[in-house]
Amino acid sequence: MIFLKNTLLFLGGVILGAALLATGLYYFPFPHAARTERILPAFEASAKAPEIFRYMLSDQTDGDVISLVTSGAPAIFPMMPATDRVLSEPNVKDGLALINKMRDDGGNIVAIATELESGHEGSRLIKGKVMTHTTWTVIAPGRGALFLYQEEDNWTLFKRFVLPGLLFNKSWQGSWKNLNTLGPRPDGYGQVIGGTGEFAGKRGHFIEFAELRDFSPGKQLAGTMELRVVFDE
Amino acid sequence: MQTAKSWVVAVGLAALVLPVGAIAQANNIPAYSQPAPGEKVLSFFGILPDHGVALTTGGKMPLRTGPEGIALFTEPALNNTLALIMKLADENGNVVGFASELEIFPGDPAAAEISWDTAWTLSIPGRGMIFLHQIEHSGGLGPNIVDPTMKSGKNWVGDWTVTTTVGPLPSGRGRIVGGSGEFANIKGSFVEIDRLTGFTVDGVMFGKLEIRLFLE
Repeated sequence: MIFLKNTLLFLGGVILGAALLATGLYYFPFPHAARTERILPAFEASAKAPEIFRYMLSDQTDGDVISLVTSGAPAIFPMMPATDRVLSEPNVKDGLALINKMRDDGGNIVAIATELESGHEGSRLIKGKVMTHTTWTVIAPGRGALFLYQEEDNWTLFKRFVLPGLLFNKSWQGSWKNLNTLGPRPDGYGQVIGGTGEFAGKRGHFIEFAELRDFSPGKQLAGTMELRVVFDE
Repeated sequence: MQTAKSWVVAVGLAALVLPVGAIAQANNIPAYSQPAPGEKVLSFFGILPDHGVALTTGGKMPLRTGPEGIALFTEPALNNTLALIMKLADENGNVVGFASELEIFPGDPAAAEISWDTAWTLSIPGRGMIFLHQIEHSGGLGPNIVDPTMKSGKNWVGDWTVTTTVGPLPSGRGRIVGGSGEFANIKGSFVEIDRLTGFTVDGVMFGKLEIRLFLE
């Protein structure tokens, strides 16, 4: 009887401890999670005329995403279009590959692009980091190709939208704006790696900025994503 | 099943890109495809059709896109482009990463002697990213293999290899633009070598694509 009581107390302690830890993580104000308010104004103040590449996220036909492939597990982001040719092998199972159209600041479709994401070694739930290494390759007919690299953190997206979706099948609608970029530059920006054509020899920095308007498990995200690119003079 | 096979073929065709009336050679591998003394070689491979993930075009090209239902780049500004996602393997066939290929065609890609810009982006999880730019041609794939197969109604089996890279470097190689992680300071050149060993009437392509990097 004493053994049973102690066991129950132990299990209760473990569960309570885990719950407290999860609650603490959820509410802890990790400094990087406030970067939208901190870094975005600095970027906007310093970037006089950034080059804008924008695409619309939607599960309707007005979206600009052509293809989205992950490992398929967890199935929080459905493949687009549905496919069984997924990134399932051990070395790529944390990957994401996106093909999309890109618009300029006026909403005109001007380019095609791919985004490749892979898991980042700096991801730690205990540190509030859900990170990826991310490439953007934008190719604009008549202009050339642009190669971009950034580190992303999706901690807030994960805890506010993905986790509730996974655990409770919870949907959300509203307006949530977020700076996805978290480096690798010390100022928090991503890097312009290089380019071709008009972009040949260019260096500079960029951010990926998102406005999420609808998150529903099993459906595509709805909202807007922007790459704001600043070239060195 | 037929549809699935067909688009997988298109993935292969995207790498080789379709017909050009260029003079075909059974093994069209110029000398610059081989390393110069002192150059270190790092290769990644795409096994066709197994490693194809997604392909779309502007709809002008005679390629079956996929997966089934994938949208086309129908807007006027984009209707002569191509985007491909495929997995990458090491020399033993183990998947070690994935990549995207984006292409802009200056005209009809079926026209003779055409060449075009291609941007390759390689993601090798745990190691880093590599960004590549090349000027490509198909080396006569269409008139020598695809068209005769379709006209004859007989599957093609053989061994046809071509270096599709023809620039932009003066040597004929493509340019390594940059990288991240382990490849942050990468410098050098590269070629894309496509080896086709089978092509069926119902459109399945068998072979291997190699991205061969020459590191300085």
